[in-house]
Amino acid sequence: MTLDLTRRSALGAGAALLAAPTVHAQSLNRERIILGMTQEPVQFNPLLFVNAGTENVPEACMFDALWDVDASGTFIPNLAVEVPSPANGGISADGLTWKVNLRRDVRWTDGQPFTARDVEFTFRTIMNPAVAVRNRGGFNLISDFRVLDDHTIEMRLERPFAPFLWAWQNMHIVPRHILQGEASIQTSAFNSAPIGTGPYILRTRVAGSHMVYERNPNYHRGAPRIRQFIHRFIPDQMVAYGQARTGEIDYMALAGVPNDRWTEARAMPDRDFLVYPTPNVQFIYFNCGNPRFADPRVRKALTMATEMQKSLDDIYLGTWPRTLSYLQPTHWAYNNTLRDYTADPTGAAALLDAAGWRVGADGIREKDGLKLAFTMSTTAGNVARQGTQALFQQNWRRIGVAMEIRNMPASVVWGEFTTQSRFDTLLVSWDPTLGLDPDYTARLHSRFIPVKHRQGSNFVQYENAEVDRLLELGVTQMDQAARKATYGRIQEILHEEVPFAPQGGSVQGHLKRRQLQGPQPNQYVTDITWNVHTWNWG
Amino acid sequence: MSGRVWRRFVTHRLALAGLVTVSVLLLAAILAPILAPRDPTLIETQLRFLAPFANASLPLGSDELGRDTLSRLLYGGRVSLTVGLVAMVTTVLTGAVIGIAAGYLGGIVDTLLMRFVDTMLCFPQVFLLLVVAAFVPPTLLSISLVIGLTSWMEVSRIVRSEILQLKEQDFIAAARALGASRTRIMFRELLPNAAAPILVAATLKVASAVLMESYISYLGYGVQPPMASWGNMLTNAQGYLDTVPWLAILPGIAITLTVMGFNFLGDGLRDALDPRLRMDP
Repeated sequence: MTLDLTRRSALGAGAALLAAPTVHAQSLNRERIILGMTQEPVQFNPLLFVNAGTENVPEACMFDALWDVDASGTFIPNLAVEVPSPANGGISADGLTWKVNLRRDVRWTDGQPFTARDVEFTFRTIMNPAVAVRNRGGFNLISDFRVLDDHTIEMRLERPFAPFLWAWQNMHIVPRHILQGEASIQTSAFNSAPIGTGPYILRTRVAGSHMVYERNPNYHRGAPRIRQFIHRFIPDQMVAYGQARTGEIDYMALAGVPNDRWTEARAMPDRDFLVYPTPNVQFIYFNCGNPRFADPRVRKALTMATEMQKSLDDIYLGTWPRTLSYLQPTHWAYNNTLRDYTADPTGAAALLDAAGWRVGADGIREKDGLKLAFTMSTTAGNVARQGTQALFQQNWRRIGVAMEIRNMPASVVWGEFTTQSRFDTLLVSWDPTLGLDPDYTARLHSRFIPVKHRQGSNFVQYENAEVDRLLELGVTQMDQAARKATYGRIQEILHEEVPFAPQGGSVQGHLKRRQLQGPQPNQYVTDITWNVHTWNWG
Repeated sequence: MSGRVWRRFVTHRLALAGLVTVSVLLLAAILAPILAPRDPTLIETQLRFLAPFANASLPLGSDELGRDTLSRLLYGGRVSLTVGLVAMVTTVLTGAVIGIAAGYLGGIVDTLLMRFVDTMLCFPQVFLLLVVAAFVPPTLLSISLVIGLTSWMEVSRIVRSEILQLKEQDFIAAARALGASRTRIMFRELLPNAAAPILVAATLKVASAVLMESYISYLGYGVQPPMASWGNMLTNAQGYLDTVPWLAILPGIAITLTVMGFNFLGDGLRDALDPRLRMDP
């Protein structure tokens, strides 16, 4: 019985897929915009969600931050009247006191006025240890938060912190008048039926299918020109692509057009193909707590043996740029002087010999009775990542290193297996932790190893006193050139010690109807709807 | 007796075709190291997406990493058929023992075992499989055993009902009168007489285990890449269905042949073994 059902549904799915290109294009409804994605948001509270990218959409539709960041990396005011700077007096000369003036014409969608008390409440909630907020970076440096009047706040920092603007850009403001009475914000009904200040209001939600928003006519940056915004979830990437081709959805975003269809998508009439750099870089993560990877020479040798460029050219079909650091190569702080030493099996073998790892009787290198044999894990079923793993496995086999692929479902591999550093190596893609600031403390500093200090995201367990010092210095520097030098040096050290080996910067291809105006690639945010209030049909 | 069964079996043409197909597939899998033209995991990206018969050294073409499809089919057959056969043996052993015990012993044993079967049947098999697989590290043997241990319930029910009929017959009364032990009656008298439905169930289980392996591989608990199985070859081909269709068609043909081969074989065996269908003098 199961057999029949499966065959039939498989045939159905196949037929639907093959039929897709021949279906006549759906006509355009100028009253609404339909955005299609492969994943579905479940947590609508902007302080609590974890699935950035997907859950950024309800955040952008229903909430606002004090300021946003545009596609050029410039901060633009939103709930604040202006972005504080030393020039406009918002930041004191010592960098410690920040004063923010708030707009007076903003209302929550239930009619209540937005005030400085809401900002204060948001800050107190973020710092409340009982609330599992997604990020406290920057906020934990505020030693004194004062409401001067209904539309002015003043914050005093313990020490100067350059990425402080990113902290507020990243956290949207929640309403005090609704949430202050809640016993637990974690379980509040607000999290699935929120009230915000944003350009759209959630009308209906059909779990597993779509969410419908209506425009907020009183939006403080001007009511959106489109009446209805629909966010639809299509789990299968190929099906989503089919719907973008026929016009069943107006805009196909995450996870975007499959890499092998970019040429086809580019050539499509009436459609715009947008190349969307994301803040994510894909790495091989080496667990430095594993005795095999304790020696930086081993990590560097393993990296040297991999054909990184080839993996991008042939598996990602040239769609991802190669990067040699944790930043995308287009980032302002990227160190351009690094030289790519990969695809060098001879050099790799020599380095392993020098480190004392000799080829044993079975062809596998060993040292002190320990074999250079380990596993690599990532999300199961991701074809491009599996291809990359298979290529690295072949690269390593040639220098006497045995790697076994052990993939798992996403919820398992990125759970405690990762956070408690139980892996040997991972193939994983991650963004910087505080917006697009080059600060990487949470993923690199030795005090941020969760298995030792119960905080942070230094899952590779990397410890280097010099890197710690530079990370601490970098966040206090206000001058961009000085910061570029600091982070350039960090990237140089990482290039030699390789706690994680960067492969490429993740880039997505989005497809939209040509008439749709507004969507704009912005490499400084994970939110593709960052400017959704301006989207329109031209 | 067995000669007559064989004679009846060979007159069943589809069954014979099934037997031949299954034998060829098994032989190909066993001889994979000799027959395969290349290393099935060798990546040569400059040779990717070759069509079948386009290149003499890769006779059935290549996949997205330039790996030889023929070699992957042969080695994948080893995985898929091993999983199928081991899972089948596990299923049949567990199912038959529980079915015979429940059917012959009756009473409280029957009630307890059958309620246990009901409980196991309550869970959709794929979910049951995933729960078990989450605790057992994936190896070829463990995958096969897990599949086998989550799909024996139907077999046990079939066997039990067969035993309920058989145990009322005279030859069992005779065995009892002769003082045969319970174990002897269950495994020497009843089991051979219940062979027909068990054999049929067994062949059908091979087919479903091959498909089960591809489900759990897709979800990450099955055979790990780059090792090929027909199931994961099919899964990987999903994204190329409308551009490079043969990547899905070839493993699809292999699975279809296996499933049909074993089903026909099972049909033929049932007809040949079932005493009620005996038509020859």
